[in-house]
Amino acid sequence: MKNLRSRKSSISGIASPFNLGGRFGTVIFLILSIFLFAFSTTNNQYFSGARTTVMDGVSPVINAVGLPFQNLSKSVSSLSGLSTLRAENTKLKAENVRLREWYQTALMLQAENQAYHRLLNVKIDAQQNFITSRVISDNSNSFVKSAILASGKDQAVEKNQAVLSGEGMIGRIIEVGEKTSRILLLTDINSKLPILIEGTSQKAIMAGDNSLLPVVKHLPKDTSLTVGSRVVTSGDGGIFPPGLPVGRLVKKSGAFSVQLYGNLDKILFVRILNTSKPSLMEINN
Amino acid sequence: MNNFFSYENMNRLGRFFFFYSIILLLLSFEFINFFSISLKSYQPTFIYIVVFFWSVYRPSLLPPILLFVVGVVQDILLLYPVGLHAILLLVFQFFIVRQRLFLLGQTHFALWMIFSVSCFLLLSLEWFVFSIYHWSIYDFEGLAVKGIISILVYPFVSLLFWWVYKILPTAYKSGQSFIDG
Repeated sequence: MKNLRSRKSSISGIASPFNLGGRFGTVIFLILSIFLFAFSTTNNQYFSGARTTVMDGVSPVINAVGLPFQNLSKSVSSLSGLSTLRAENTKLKAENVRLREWYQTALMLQAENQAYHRLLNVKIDAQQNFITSRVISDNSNSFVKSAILASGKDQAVEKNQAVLSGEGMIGRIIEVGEKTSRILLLTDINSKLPILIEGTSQKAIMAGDNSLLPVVKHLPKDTSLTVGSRVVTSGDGGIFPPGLPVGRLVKKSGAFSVQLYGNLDKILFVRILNTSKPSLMEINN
Repeated sequence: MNNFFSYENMNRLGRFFFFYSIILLLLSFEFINFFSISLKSYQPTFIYIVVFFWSVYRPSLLPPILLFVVGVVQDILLLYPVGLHAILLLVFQFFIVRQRLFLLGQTHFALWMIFSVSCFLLLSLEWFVFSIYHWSIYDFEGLAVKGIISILVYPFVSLLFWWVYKILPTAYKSGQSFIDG
């Protein structure tokens, strides 16, 4: 009897540390899952709060697990990059000389532009600055292309801000938690971006199709476009500022697509465009 | 009180803790980018390996509530319709547990083949639901590669699980046999 009591009070006889659910557990949780699924397909917006809470809660774990792998990846790439470093250095030197010439031209054009703005009394655009953030989790898979950033409301990140990596835009903020936020990449099937094709001033919509090359849609039938043209945001809709670099025009199976400037393969850090309204003093100046 | 903190109990708890840590580590791989985003879509799906192996050998370690929570969290983090993975995992476990006696009598190679078919069925179901959900045909090629990689990875993960299985405390309860898990 004494032995039996001591066995009951101990955990040594259990098959698992938590045996919740019982015999009907599967049925109960299956019904609950079906209900959740049906509800989420019709009312996905109600899960936004839950998503951000889970994101904030799970991010330290993902961060801790992912950090050694990220460091390992960085070390491997730096080791393999040593052999190409010399060639890259020569190329960069040549590019630097060319850029210095362009810098002088840009300064001249900037002064000229400012003079025209003053002459025409143009309204000042919103001031832009950047929030730099680390990518803590890449959730891209066959169906959804997104990533989680280590910045949220605490760092003034807001929904619908443009996210840039390297040389161009790569996505937009769709969910913001206290300490984390989520980007929907431009390659995702749900991503639509109003664009302008430079050189022709043709406006269109760039739509993601889960491939690396988003397609250009809503082009007039007789539009003649040049492959390689620069693609920037048009600013239509008022969500993103105009002129943000996006990519260059390419042809994919007969249709026009965009090769993004931002390298999606190597996004460790991103810049979130923080567009703030200019103050009255700035406008007066 | 003294009994709870005995060496035997702490030893058992430690082994369970180790088991769930390994599972958590494997599941978190779903959200980590090892190589590049373009290769991310092909990363193996560890959750189906976990559910298959442990539903065959120790289903009591993966109770329905745990599969439900894991499925919902995964859906939330991956931007899937909430509940999809929970349904798939629970149904998958239900079928495996029903065929457990048969599966326990199979060779490792036969289990691997059964997992391969199950994995492709589950990925096809995901693909079907997403295609209906967004009313567009998704690319199946990437998913097929993901499935093949998951199948290739299975023997290595199951080797690790065999080792974990050996160090887990024995599954006995009053009136419960090994087969009960």
